[in-house]
Parts: sequence; structure tokens; C-alpha cells
Amino acid sequence: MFKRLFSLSGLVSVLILLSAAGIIYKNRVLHVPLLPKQDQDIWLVEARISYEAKGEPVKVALALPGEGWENPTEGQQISLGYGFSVEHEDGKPVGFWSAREPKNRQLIYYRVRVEEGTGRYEFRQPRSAKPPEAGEVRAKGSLGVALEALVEAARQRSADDVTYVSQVQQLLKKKPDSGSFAYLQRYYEKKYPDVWEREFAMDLLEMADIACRPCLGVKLEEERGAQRHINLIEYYDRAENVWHVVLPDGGSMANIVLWTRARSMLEVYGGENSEVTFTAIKERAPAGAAERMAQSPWWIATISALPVSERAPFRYAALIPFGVLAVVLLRNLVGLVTLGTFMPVLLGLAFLELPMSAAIIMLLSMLFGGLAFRAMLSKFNLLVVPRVAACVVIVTIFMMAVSLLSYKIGAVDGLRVTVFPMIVLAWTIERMSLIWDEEGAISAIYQVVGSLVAAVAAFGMMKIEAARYWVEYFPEVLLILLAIILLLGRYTGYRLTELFRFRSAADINS
Amino acid sequence: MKKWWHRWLASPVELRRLGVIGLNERNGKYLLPNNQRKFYRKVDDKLVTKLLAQEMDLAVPELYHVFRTQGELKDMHAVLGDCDSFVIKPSRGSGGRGVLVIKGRRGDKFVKASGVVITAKDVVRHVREILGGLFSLGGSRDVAMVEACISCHHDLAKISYQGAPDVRVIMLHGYPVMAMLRVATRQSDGRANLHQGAIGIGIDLVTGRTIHAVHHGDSVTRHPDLDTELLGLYIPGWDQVLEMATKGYEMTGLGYLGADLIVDEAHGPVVIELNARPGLAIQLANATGLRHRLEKVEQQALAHPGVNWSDRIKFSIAAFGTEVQAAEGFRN
Repeated sequence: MFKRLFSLSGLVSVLILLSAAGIIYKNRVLHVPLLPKQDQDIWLVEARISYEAKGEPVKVALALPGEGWENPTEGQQISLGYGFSVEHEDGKPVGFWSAREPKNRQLIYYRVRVEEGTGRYEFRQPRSAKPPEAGEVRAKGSLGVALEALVEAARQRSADDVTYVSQVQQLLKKKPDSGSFAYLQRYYEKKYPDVWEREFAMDLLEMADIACRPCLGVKLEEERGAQRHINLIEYYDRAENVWHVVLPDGGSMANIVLWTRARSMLEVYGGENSEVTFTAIKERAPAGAAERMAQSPWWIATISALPVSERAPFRYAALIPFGVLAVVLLRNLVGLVTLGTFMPVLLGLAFLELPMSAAIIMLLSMLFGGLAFRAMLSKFNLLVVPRVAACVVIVTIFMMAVSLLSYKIGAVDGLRVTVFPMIVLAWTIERMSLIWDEEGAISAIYQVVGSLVAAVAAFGMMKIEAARYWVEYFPEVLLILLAIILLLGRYTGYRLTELFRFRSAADINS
Repeated sequence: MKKWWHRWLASPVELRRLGVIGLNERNGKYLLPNNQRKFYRKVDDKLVTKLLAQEMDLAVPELYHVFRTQGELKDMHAVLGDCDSFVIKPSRGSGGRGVLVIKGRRGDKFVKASGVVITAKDVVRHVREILGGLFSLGGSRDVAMVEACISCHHDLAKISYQGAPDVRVIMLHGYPVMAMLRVATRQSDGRANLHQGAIGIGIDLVTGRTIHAVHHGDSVTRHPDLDTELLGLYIPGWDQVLEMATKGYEMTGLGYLGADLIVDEAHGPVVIELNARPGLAIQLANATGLRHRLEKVEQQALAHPGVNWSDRIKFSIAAFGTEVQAAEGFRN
């Protein structure tokens, strides 16, 4: 019985049974669909508050989303040892967390679901309330003169409040090099380091008697990871009697949701170094299913119970087994030769974060640049470890150069060149140059091409939308992958390249 | 039933019929089950191999000296004495890297096999590099062996373009299974690796004569650079070659093993190195798949464990000699 269980086929069957049981349970009992739904776009947006407790009673106030989108759902807070209540200030919801004596670094999470495309960016001013009035801008001397000039120019080219605002936005987007604008830009940058565009725009609006106030939004973008909030402005359009929410420089609001119309996001009493960051990820399962799973006692079965910001790293890490499977298939079934066994998987991960063409060009330039440097080094007959270390330094310098260069020519992709694993690259260069010396250039290039093909295949596997969905909601799938890989470990048939290698054997014997 | 793609690919069915084995099969069925990790040290370190071989009374190139530390290099002159020809090589080098062959002296300078003259200082620097790990994979420290230079038997030297041809015998459970002669070409630059352009020549286990040759996967009968006949050549001291290779099993305990030997003009066959992961090109050189032979040996070893070396050779000759003749009959 035990012998049976520990044989490979026994192990494989156990793995598949376990995995199937988990999948069937989730699908039948918790009603989690087996494939991601294509048409739904629900985002999980999470605010993560962190601060250092000073050992005294603490009160944390976070502006909560209320009016930012249609059908707001109730949010969920995750914290240890805090009392939580929601109060309304001027009709805007604010969440209060309080605790008597928290210690050290504290984390509080608040998350809420947002349906894509339901963001609201216009708010009618209640008829009963008296119309808002613009604040007064106190700018004297040359500053006032310069502002007046800009306001006048914008007023000349606009017909009403809306067109005036768009003139101001264009101005901030173009940032003309003219003397007065540059002078003002320097002034505002110095006075309001992080929010100078917002303050500048608001002063220009208020000088034209347009009432406005700051508000805060969040960008719905998975790739961003943890982000700060986005600074927005809402202004009062006197003709239409509505408030409009816009970006100071007129950028697209398409994937930005308004989190709060309150002026401040976070206030912490009794703590210091407080900070709030946001993480947005796409919820690939229907809202109900995710809830049921998070509450299910089978906690091991899902990573969706984790706070969103802690879950984000898994997004890529849990995909690695799919890439590894691709490499196993290519090496043992096709017989592709690669530089380093799982180096292609790491490259594939890099491809996930960069457009592939840019990634390949950057990789090849770094590889051959490093190789040229390595060829230079080989004259000195260095020992291996210092030699590879020197390569790491060179690769680092190359990365900086590529970043700078692509920034100068305006290609943003280059800036993320650091997604390439440096140490792996250096070893790849080392191995490649050894092969170059021992077996010739053709063999070395053949292996580079093999590695690239494997990297693209690994990328392809990890890119599959269903794969991403499964690792998040059906991590049991990994057991099936394990079973497949174990079975492949027993494959003793020919590799595809061997059919080529032994092609003449058939001729000789016939 | 020949399809156009047979020009480029053999069909798996046909390869299976021919008994050709692939890397997956070699590793999964023969290498992993039969070669214990702990024995690898005996073949991966040439110094260990040499000492073990001497214990078994197997002929090896005479070991003059081993340099283990940089400090010993002071004694270089005393060690080399008035020795005219010698080889310096790293104990754990791979693929022939770091091997320095000195053929003679000119005054206090040394003449390399290629005819280039170098100074004693160059020799010392070479040893230094070996000790520093320049030629060992992973850059770990190594020792340098100084040993006698083999003068290859003239029958074999005449078919090789520089570099001595070596004989490889593959064994399973100590039974010789297949053998080939590897001959350098201008393209392979004195090295005996088939994928670098060396010629592989299959040897009949019974007669010790060469039967078939491949260069880059294609059948050839004459050396591409020297235009000498490659087939029908007798390997001098063939019986001894088989005996020494076969004893390599007792020496290492490795079930799947390749032995590389060179036939010396004066001393006959000597063991150069043993290999725990011998390649598969030997099948092309012999125009025969390994599987039928490996399976026969597997059955034999299972049925009669603990057979001594001479009976193992007898078995192989009886079992595979007829097979070779049959295959040749089939070919004609």
C-alpha cells in the first residue's frame, strides 16, 4: 500500500486527486467559475495606511470613497486591535480607527470594489445651497503681474468657465518656455513642491472668479503596484451649476476614479511618519465568489484573502511554475539548448513587464555589449569570480546608460530596464563567452537564440489570462503542473532535435 | 514511404527500430539508475582517476609531478630536470582546456606540440593559471599534473591531423558495449570532440578493426584533410584496450561508463580519462543503435551478477560480434 503510494504514478495520482478535489469544491460549492469572465471589469482598490505609533492613544482618519462612482459598495477594513467607525463630515464619509496603545509600525487596510466605467466626474450643486464663491488670490508685485498676464491671455481665448479651464490646462501641459510662465513655475515648484501644478491651476482659476477646490483620486492600473493618490481639482461651472472634476494638466480621466472630494486624505493623531498608498488590482472572479472564498475555512486554498498590496507580488511569482513547465517541455521534448537552465523563465518575467520587442532589443544590446567587454577582460586572465563580478558592474553601467539614452530619446520603456535580473545576465554573459571560446560563435549564438525562444515560450505561458486567474483562485492547479513535470521527468523518448541529429542513421542502414 | 522531410528528420519509429537512444533515454534509463553520485569524483578528477588506475595496475601516462600550491613553483627546474617532453594539465579541466604539450627543448626554452617556442616563465605562468582555477568550471582551485607525453602509435597517428586519436569504449555494468576511434581534423583543431568537427570511426568489438566513419553526421571513408583510408584499420593492442577499459568498471563502480585510451608507440594502450556521461555520437560512428546491446547486457547482468572482466568481454564479443556481422550483411 505504502509502496504503491510512493511510486511515481501513485504520487501523481494523489496530486491530481487533491487538486481536482479543491477545484471541484470551489466550483460546485463556492461557485467560482473555472474560467475568468471576460466582460466584467471589477477593480479591487485598497488603501494601505502605515505609521509609527508613539505609544499613546491613536486616532486615524481616512477619507472614504462615497460619491466617486455609481453604486458604491460598502468597503472592508482590515486591522488588528482597532475600533472602527464611519462618520460623515459635510456629507463626506470618513473612516475613524482608534486604539489605546498601539506599538511600533502599524498597518491598516481599507478596500473597496469599483466597477470600471462607473466613475463620476460631475456633481450638481444643490439648488438650496448658495453658489460657491471663488477664494481670493493674494499675489503682489511681479508675481501678480505675471499671473494677471496669463489669466488675461486665457480669458481672451475662452468663452465660458469650461473653455477657460481647458486653456489653463493646456498651458500647464505645454509648459511654454516664455519668461513669465517659467518664472511662475519656479515660484510654485518652490512653494508647493509636490502639488505645484494643482496650486498653480487653482490660483489661475480663482483669479478668473471660478470657484475650485482640491480633491483626490486613485489610478486603476495593475502595473503600477503601490501608488500615491492622484491630485485632482474640482471647479464650479456657473453656467451649468455643476462641479467638474479634472486633472490640473487636462490629462485623461479614463482610468482615474475620484476617491474623495475632501481636501485631505489621511490624518493620524498620536503617530508619525504616516502614509497612505493605494493598490488597484483587477478582480477576475465575480464579486460574490471572491467573498465566499475569502470566508471559506479552507484558507490555504486561496491567496485572495491576503491584503491586496501583499498579494501583488504573487501575481508574478505564482506564474513562475507555468514558465518553468514551458522550459521543461522545450528542453526535454524539443531538445532546445539554453544558456542556464531556468534563465529563460527570468527573462520571460521581464517580458511581462516590458513590451517584448523593446525587451529583446535591450537584452541583446546588453548581452553583446557585455560580451565585448568580457572579451577584453579575457586578455588579463582573471579568475572566474572577479571576472563575473566585473561583468555585473558593467551590466549595471549598461543599464544606467540604456535608461538615460531611452529617456533622452523619449522612449519610456527603457526606464524599466532594471526588470532584467542583473546577476543572471552577468552569468549568462560569462557562460556565453566560454561557449564562444570553446565551441565557436555559431554555437554561442545558437544557444542565445534557444534561450530567447524559451523565454518567449515561458512568457507566452505566463501571459495566458486563464493562467493568471487560476493561480489566484485555483492555486491547486500548481499541483497538476507538478504532476505533469514529474511525469515529464520519466520521459525517455527522443527529443525533436535528436530526430535531426540522427537523421543519417536511417540512411546508413537502408 | 520516404517523405520530403526525411532529408531533415528521422522518424521516431525508424530510430526506435534501429535502436538509437536519445539523451532522455540515456539519462533516465542508464545513467541515473546506474551511476551513483558519490562515484563521480573518481572520474571527474583526473588525478584521482590516475591513482586508482595505478592501484589496479592499469597503464597510464607516467605522472612526473603534481603542483598543488603556488609556492612549489620555485622547484620547477628541479622537477622538470632534463625532461624533454611532457604534458601539463589541470586535474579538473574539461574539454581539453588548459592542456600544455611540450615536445622538446631548444636551449633553455620549450617547444610546444604546434612548434611554437615558449620560455620557462611561460610554463610557470601556465601552471599558475591552472592552480588559480582558470580552467576548472566554476573557477574552483585546482592542481596541475605534469605527466609523460604520449607518442601515439604510428598506425593511428597517420590518420589524424595533429592531436593523438583516442579510443572510446562505452560499458554498461562493465560489459563493453560499443567502441569508436576519434580522430582530429584541421577543423577540430587537434581536439577529439565530434561536434567540433572531429571524425568518429566505429570499431568492431571482435576484430578491433574500424568499420564505419562519420564526419559531421555524414558517412565518410577517407580523412578530409589527409586523404588517408579510415576503414579496415586495426587498433594496435585491441585486446588490451578492451581489457583495460573493462577494468574501469571495477575501478569506479560506475554502471554506465566511457573509457578513453590512447595507444602509445612503445607502451601500448594507456588510460587517459574515464567519463561518467559519455555522449551518443558513438551510435552514428558505428551506424548502430545502442539500445539492443544495452538491453542484452542489462538482462545478462541481472541474471549473472558479479562476473569477472574476462568473462564479460567474452560475453560482449559473442553477443555483439555476430550482430555486427549481421548488420554488415544487411548493409550489403
